Amino acid sequence: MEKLFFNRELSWLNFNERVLMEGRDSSLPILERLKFSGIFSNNLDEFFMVRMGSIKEQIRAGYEEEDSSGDSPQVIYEKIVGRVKELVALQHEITRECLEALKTRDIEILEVSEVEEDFQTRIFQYFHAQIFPVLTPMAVDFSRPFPYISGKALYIAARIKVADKSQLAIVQIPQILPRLIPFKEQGKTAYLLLEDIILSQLDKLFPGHSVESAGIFRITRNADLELIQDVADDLLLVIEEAVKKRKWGEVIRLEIKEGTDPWIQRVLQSALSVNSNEIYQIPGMMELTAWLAFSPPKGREALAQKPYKAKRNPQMTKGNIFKLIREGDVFVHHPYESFDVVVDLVQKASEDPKVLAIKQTLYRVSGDSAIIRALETAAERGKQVTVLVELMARFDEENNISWAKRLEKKGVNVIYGLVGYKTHSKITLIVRKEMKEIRRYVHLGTGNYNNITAKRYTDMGYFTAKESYGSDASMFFNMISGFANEVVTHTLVVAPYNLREKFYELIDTEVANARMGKKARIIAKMNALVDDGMVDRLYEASKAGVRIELIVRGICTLVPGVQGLSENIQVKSIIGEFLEHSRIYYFYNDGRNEVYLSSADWMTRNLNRRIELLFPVQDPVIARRIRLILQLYLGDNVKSWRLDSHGNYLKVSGEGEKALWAHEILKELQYKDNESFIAYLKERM
Amino acid sequence: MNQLYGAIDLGSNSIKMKIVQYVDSSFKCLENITKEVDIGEAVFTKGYLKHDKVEEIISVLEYFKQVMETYEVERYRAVATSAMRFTENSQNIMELILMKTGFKVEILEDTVEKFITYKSIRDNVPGFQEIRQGSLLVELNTGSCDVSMYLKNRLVMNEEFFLGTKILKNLMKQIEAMNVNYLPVVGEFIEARTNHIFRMIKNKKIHHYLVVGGEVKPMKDLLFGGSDEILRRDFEKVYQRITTDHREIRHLVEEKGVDWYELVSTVLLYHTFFKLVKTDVMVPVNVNLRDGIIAGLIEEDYQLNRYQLFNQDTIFLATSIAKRYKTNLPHVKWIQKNALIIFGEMKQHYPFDERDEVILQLSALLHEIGKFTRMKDYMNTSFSKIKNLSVLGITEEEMKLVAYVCLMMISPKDFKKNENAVMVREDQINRIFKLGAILSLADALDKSKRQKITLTRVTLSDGDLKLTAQAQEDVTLEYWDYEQKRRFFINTYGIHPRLEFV
Repeated sequence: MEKLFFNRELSWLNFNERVLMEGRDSSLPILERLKFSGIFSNNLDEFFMVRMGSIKEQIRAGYEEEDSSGDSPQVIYEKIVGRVKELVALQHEITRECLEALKTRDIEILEVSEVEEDFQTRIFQYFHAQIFPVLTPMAVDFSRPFPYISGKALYIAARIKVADKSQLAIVQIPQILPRLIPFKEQGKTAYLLLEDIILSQLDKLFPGHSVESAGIFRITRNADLELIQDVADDLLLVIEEAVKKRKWGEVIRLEIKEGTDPWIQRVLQSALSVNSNEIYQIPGMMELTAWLAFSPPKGREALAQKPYKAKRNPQMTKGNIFKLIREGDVFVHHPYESFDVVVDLVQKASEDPKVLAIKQTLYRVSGDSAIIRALETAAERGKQVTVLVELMARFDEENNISWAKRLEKKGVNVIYGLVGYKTHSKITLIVRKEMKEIRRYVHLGTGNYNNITAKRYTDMGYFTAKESYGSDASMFFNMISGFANEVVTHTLVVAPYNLREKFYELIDTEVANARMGKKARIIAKMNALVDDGMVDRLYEASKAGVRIELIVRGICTLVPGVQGLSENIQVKSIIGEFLEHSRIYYFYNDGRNEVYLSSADWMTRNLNRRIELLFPVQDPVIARRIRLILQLYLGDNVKSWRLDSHGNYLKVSGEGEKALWAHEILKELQYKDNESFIAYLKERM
Repeated sequence: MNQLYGAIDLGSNSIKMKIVQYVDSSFKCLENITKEVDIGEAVFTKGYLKHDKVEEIISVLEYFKQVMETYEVERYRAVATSAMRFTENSQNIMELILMKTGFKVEILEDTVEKFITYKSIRDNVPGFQEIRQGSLLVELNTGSCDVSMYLKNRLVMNEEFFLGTKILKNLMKQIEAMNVNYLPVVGEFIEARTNHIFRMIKNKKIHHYLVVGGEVKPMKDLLFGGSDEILRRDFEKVYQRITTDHREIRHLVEEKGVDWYELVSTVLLYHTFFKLVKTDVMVPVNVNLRDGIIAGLIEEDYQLNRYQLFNQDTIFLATSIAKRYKTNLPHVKWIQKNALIIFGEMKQHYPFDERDEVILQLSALLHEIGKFTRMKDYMNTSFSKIKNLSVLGITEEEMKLVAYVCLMMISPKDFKKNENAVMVREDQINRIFKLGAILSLADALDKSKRQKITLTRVTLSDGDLKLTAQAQEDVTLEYWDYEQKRRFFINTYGIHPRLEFV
């Protein structure tokens, strides 16, 4: 039978549609629903910045090879454009529904023309006092080059009459001002859009000229950071240079407000060198990411999702953190359990005189990070601090360069990883000289050391003082420092060295067991499943009779449920309040019930081009807890979508069944240790 | 007691470091780092290392320094092996390393390197005692190949060949340019270079075939599925594939970043000796110099004498050499025995170097080897033969010392007049005299070479060394020589030997 694959880009767009559809969930607070519209926009921006450029490049280069789904780059491009247009239309429809619902709760977005006349004076005053001083209108004519247009910023394009001729002028909507400007009107809370206020006062910017028409537009530039890594002597310098260049990336999308004067559109299209199929007409409010930063007015907090306060891991509440880890492995599940325990460990280590060294990988660090401060303290106290800062974490490069330089100044040994490989693994190693011997403490995670995202992403962390992990962690840091070639490990599995082989081996074991008539089962939870080799392996496993349940949040190129190929494979996706981010791999292995956590998805880039880690959960109780969490995810019938063999995601309907809402159950569950977690979760299921 | 130990090994292909913790008589490995730096390629083709390669070495060592500092390791030993031995500018490089990293790197002589590796084998290979009953051990490194044979718990043969993987690689490339079927040709070359020892190995009761070397691990992992024991039939299959159509296997090897030529050199060489042994199993031994270095450091710190066996091996090898030169073995062994008895008492009262006991025994066993080629004036012939000998576990410097002690022993009166003695270092004179005095006394006690005098007891008190002996026959000759050598002993130690018969 021919192997089947879904196209990865279209699969990603399907994922973004699922995100968008959360905005239709009437059980959620309205502002939470609007946030999903903002997330959709944010995701789509990244998609254009990262993926579209490379597809366009393939077309330009005349590359006509079909991908594993059977489509050429040109066909894929056309399909993407069509699908994006559909989804954007849906987004605005959903946003309108939400705004309508908001209106019934006395909150509305008004246009300036809808505001009563008395109020117009106040708008005029606000414009002059707050907005006008920060505006910089830029005229476009033959004597001046077309001004630089920043990616993802909103602009007004105006057609100005100058000496009987039309001339274009550009005004950037200032990003330092709030996008939604509130005011009270007859007991209601109303908001005006910043761009709408500017449009209403546009003639004030061009005194002596008449404004014939105006429209709002926004562009997206290609931001795929390509480095010529073989010649990169100093990675830091190369990345700084590439980030600078990114600002000048090619325009790959022009969004323009529907109904804008065709003359303006023509001039913009020509000036920005945009093809017609790269122009997207936006029917409603542009740049919906504004809803991500939107807070409800005072007294109306119920309109938004109640902020969730994470529990402190019950095992880590008191006592010496090192002693606790020594006594037994500790598992933390974020965001249900606070990320503070990880920060605490690094902080305690930085102050502990017994600690000799701290080594850590940092991929995406949050703004004012307590971890960074702790690492600085440790270095100041004379400890050996080694930090791998992955400069190439997409869109975080500038942030990472800034931390890297700061840490270096404090005496931290900052390394930038192996040229050609992104270091995506999440690991901390603490070396401590104790009474009897040197002991190593390790934290391994599925998510980044980022205390902001740890409140929104579901991730898992594992603390251990077991020697096999410690010794492997030391080896790992030597390897990523570029000073060790041999990757011989006891417990950890490292990509790109042996991770793919390990996964193949684990799957093959299930296949062999299934062929012997034994029970064989795989449950794998990840962000994306894109690697053809892994998909092939899973098809083989399905054919051998292995029961495979996949929980894939985003892209999935595997086609499930095809007779003779994948009838034993089920794929589901969970989209909800928290971004599913943990990577969990379970293999039945003839009753051995092996559970692994990882920083890696089953994507070619993770398995071949990144430094990733997979580690076994050796503590049997923790492994049981994780298995039960997987069961909960599999049973979720509130926020789950099931992928069918045609590539459609169908919302799982829990009608007539007991509702199982994984995120909510995990948020509410109270327990004192892993055993009680298991007992209470079983009750809830 | 809790102690950290470090070992650094600057090899031909890589620089390695190991840090262990020695707790409650067991090791815990804290770091084991290997960084590939190809030193050998340049050295074995050009003879020296360029500045950029030296910089690369230094940057790796700087990192190792940092790791050592992390653990606060104070006790360590850094060594360099064959590549550095062959590098013209090695002293300059060592100085640069010291200046930039603080590491004082010793360039190991091959005999010492082997000795350290053997220590590691003893600690890491299960059933080592059993293996010594009958085994062939072939160690292949970048610069040389070393073949040792153990029979009845004795090291009976140790031969070194200038047949390292780098050398074979160069040869192989040259032959490959001439003949597509180059591998059997290289196999033929290996046989031609080693076949003089085949006779010694064939038909011996060898039940264990052990192979050691830098390419053992990749060979085992890539060609034999990581197996700890390689069966003859499996080895033969791989050998056949390699020597007939190796395209697929070469692709597999090179895909893993392993040097094909070096790996295949290993297979060819191990195959050459596999044909000679009776066993059907080849055991790839995963040992390294670092383990041996650390074992040595621990031995020193804890005054362990776990490696006595290796000194015995050195003595056995010296005995084999003496035998090869048709030495009167009963005589030299008698001297060895009596000298050890005297030394045993002397060391209770006088300071000696910890290696003096081995030097003394080697001198006793080897002092007459010059007679094989020249009876007249044999002492100078012995001297030049001894100083050029290569014996497992003995440094070049020590071998020279043995040669000087022999010179002193044979002719103490004329020692200073001897042209060879002109080169003796001032700091060695005292040591040579002390050992020479003991040996010449022991030699005198068997002047007739008929082992008539048996020393039963030696005691030192009030400035007298009382030698209690038994003799059944006339010992006039011995007594006459004893009186001659006695003066030398008195002049050296200020002690009066007194020979008494019971």
